[in-house]
Parts: sequence; structure tokens; C-alpha cells
Amino acid sequence: MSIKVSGVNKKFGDFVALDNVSVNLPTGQLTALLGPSGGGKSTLLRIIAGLETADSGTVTIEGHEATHLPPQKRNVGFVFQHYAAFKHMSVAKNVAFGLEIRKRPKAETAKRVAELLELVHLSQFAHRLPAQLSGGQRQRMALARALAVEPTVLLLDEPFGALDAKVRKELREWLRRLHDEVQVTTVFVTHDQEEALEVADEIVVINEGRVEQVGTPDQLYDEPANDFVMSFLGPVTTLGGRLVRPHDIEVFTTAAVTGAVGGVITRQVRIGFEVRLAVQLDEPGAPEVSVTVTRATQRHLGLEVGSQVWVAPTHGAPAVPVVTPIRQNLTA
Amino acid sequence: MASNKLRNNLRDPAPVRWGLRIVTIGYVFLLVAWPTALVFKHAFGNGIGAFFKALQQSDVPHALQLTATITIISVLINLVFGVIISILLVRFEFPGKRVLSALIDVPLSVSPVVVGLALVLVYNSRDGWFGPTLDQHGIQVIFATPGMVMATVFVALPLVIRELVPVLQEIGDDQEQAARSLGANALQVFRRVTLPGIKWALVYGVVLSLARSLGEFGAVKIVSGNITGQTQTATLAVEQTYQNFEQNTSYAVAALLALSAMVCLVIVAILRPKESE
Repeated sequence: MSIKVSGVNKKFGDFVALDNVSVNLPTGQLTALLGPSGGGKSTLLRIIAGLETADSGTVTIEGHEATHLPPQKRNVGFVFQHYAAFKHMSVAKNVAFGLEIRKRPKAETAKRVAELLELVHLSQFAHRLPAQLSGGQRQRMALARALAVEPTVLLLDEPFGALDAKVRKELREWLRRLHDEVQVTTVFVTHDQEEALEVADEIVVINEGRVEQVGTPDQLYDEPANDFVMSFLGPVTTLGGRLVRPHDIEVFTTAAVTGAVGGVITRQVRIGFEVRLAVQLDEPGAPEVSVTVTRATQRHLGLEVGSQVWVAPTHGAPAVPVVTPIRQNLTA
Repeated sequence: MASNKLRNNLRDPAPVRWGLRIVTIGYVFLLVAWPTALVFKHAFGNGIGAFFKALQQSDVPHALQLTATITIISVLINLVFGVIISILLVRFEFPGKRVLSALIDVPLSVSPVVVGLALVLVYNSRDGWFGPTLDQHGIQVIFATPGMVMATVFVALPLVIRELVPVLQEIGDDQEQAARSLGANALQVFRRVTLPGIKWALVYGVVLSLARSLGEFGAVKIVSGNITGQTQTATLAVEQTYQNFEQNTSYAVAALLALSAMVCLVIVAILRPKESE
């Protein structure tokens, strides 16, 4: 196990940021710490990096006890949400920083910097100042800077959070490819479930200072441990007292199927290929059900507002009992 | 340019704009420019030779030298402590931080005469808190250079700190954390990341405290005892020569002091744009 966190507690005044958190993050993998803002995931990452100290508990990195080591002795690379570029240094100098601190020979440093700039596609910007780069370029520079010291682990704190949607998408695909190339144990924090599902080998879901579930993206999506994980990883709706994903509900125009419940379509929103329906069940007092169908299905069944339909969860669809009330939201 | 002009026109009618300009320029002229110009006029009225001759009068060279010494030592002390206190105030949490922050502004609000008196009470060699002990070890504070340096450091203390604190707050500690995670120790972080970030603010603060130290009068007058040829600084010499009807000398020293401060401000004006780049 590359990073072992056991029994970590952290409080900021009265606020409990981490409550007895224990996780093992495997070597060579890309792990996402996923959860809502203020859930404690960034705090956990900063404790692993040594930028924050735990009130109690231990951190072990590659078998070395690191709980009380200062950040400069942990050999971790850290990438910040807002880049933390050294503003007065050129891109090349930024990347060379860790190597210069380690007093590597000049020629070796120059060679390594050139390689890294090649890796992050910034070779032609080597002599620019960070202020002259775009956000995405700055974050790639920060990544090269963190990788320069050949860290045991690479930690990224909401690395794409400050970027616009398109650049964010490009960069996360690029991060995945980079990770496959460099093979360094990587942990990144995100509140974007799509980002975690797309990029990570393993996801740790953290909420209110606790680990809710650890697993591969498939495990988390298909076998959520509880209603929180289920609802955080994607849209959910309530049908028959259970949480179900709107696209895991089948729509019929006849009552022939056993277990299907009747209702009337009250709203219909089309977004490209998908159509989102709100179905008011006939059973009095039952909550409105969100259903997502493809445009083809909608057309084939002739669905429109006011249509009488019968809905049932598709066979084998993941579902968990409703514990806390989930906000119904057609556009979520 | 054209759009700026349009915006100005929309905001205020011409008479208001011209009225404001005339009031401001007139105010600065009557209060600052004209009186200062008169000092220079009197100092150089009998030619540049007479100006230099006036500066050679009996105890003037010693006073100028003393001012230079005190200024350099004070600025160095304020530079070092200003940086340390600023970093402490911005980067660390500790009990009493707000009190410390408020105390730093005391020299700005309290009259320098009070500062001088307070130093005398603490360090005088008869009944001060530390005075007798220091005196026994052969260190005289009051009526000597150490006391004058302390008074000058005191009055100029906030200038470096008030320049540095906002800049340190604005740049944040992200870069410092990044440097630490890349293996830099505290000293390396300071030298390679913090210091370059606050460089221009530091220069500005130093120049301001230099100008302030050159011109300090009240606090220094009390702690120095104003002994001609021994503890008399340039500002004290200006007062004494003026009262002794040696106007030429008085104007010459005053002009030199004003000129030094102006050179400081010009340097700042040249440096200032670079900071915003």
C-alpha cells in the first residue's frame, strides 16, 4: 500500500473536518477523493502532503512513517487549485525549482526541465512568465513542476476547478494519459463526480468528514453503499420507496407489465438525444418520478405531456432504500 | 482616450472639474510647494558656493554625519524587524496578534515628543527601568546615539510594516506552500519565494522610513539632550542655528534635508510603476 491513512481526526475550532478517517491508497494508481465542498477531502489531501497536521492518527507513505514529517521531507508533489505559480520566475525556472533546491547539477536540471516541458507541451513557453500563460497552461506547468522532483506520490487539490468547462475536460483526459505514461501514484481531489468516474482507477467518497465508500468507478456506480453515494454519483429519483437512476426506469404505454405503476407525464424537457420526463403517479401522495429516456424511445412510444404511462425499474438496476429525503430535481 | 474623455464629461460638468483642479493645485501649492521653494531660494540665494560654505559651519558637518549614521542604523533595524513582524502578522496565528497589530500603529498616532519622553523614562541612567543597569555596564542610552537610534526606529517602525502587510496578504501563502512541498526549507522559501514577491513593497517601505528617519525631530530632541557637536542631529541643528540668527546655515541644512527626502520620493516614483507591471 502506497499511502496508508489510519484513524485521522482533524478539527478546525468546532468544525469536524475529518472524523476517524482510514484509507489505503494503492501504489501506481490514480485515486480520486470525491465529495461535496466542505466534506473534508482537501483537508485529507493536505494532511497527506504535510501542509496540515492531523489532531490524531497516522500517515504512512510507501512504508515510511510520515505523520510528523514536514512537507519538504515527504517527497510528495502537490498541485494547487489556483496553480500557486512562482510569479517572478519563468516557466522553466518554476519547473526547475525543486531540482535547484536539491542542488542537482545544472546540466541535469536543464535536461530534466526540457523533458518535462515536452511532456506537458509547454516547450515553446519556457521563457515566459506564468502571468503570460492561460489557466490550463499554468496548471500544466504546475504539474511539471511537481513531477520534476520525481515524487513518490502526486497530490492534486481540485486541479481543474478554476478552469472553464472545455479546458477542464481536455485536461482531465490528458491527466489520465499522462498518468498511464508516468505511472506515479496519484491522488486528486474533486467535487465533480463525472471527473472522478472518467479519470480515476479508484474513488474514495468522502462526506462530512467520513469515508462513505471506496471502490472502482463501476463498483460505486453499480453497487452504491448507501443513498448518499448513489445520489452523489448521478441523478436519482424515488420509485416505490427506493432510489433509482432516472435512466434505469422503463416506460410502458400499457399496464401489461407486472410491478409497473401508472402515472401521467406532467413535464417533458428535451436535451439533445435525451428526454427528461416528470411522471406524477396515480397513487395519491406519491412523489413525482423523474425518468430519462432517449429521443428514439420517446418518439417510438409517442410520449407527450398528459400521456398515461406505466413505469418500472429496469431489471438489475442499482437501487437503495431511501433513508434521507432526496431533493427532486428534474434538471439535476 | 476618447472614451475616457466622454466618461469624464458625463460624470461631472466642466466647471466642477476645473474647480476641483484649481482648489487642489492651489492647496498643494500654498501649503507645500511654495514654502519649500522658499527654503531653497534662501539656501541658494547667495550662490552655490555660499550654500556649501554654510554647510561647513562649526558643528554642522558633525550634525550631518550623526544624522546619516542614525538614519542608516535605524533603516537597517526597521528593515529586518519590519520583515519579521510583517510575516509574523500575516502568516501566523497567535494570541495577542490584534494587539500587536494595533501597537504597531502607535508611532503614527502618538506625538514623537511623547515617544522621546517615554524612552527617557525607561532608559535614563538615574531612575529608568533599564537605565542604571545598562549604565553600570558602560552603555549610555539617553543623551547618546543608542537612544537617538531607538527614538528614530520607533517613529519609523510602521512604515515598512504597513507597506509589507497588504502585499503579503495579497500574494497569499500558496506559493510558499508549493515551495515547501518541492523541498524548500524555511530559509529557502523566504529567499526564493517570499522575498522576490515583496521586493518592491520592501524598497518602498525602506525609502519611506529613510525619509522619515532623516527628518525626525521631536523624539530625538528629547532623548539626545541636543548637545552641540555631540548629540545634535541635522534637524536639531536647523532649529538651533535659526534661533542663533545664523539663517544662512539654517536654510542650507534645511534645504539639504528637504533635498534628500525629495530624492527618496523621486526614487519611489520611479520604482512604483515597476511594481505594478
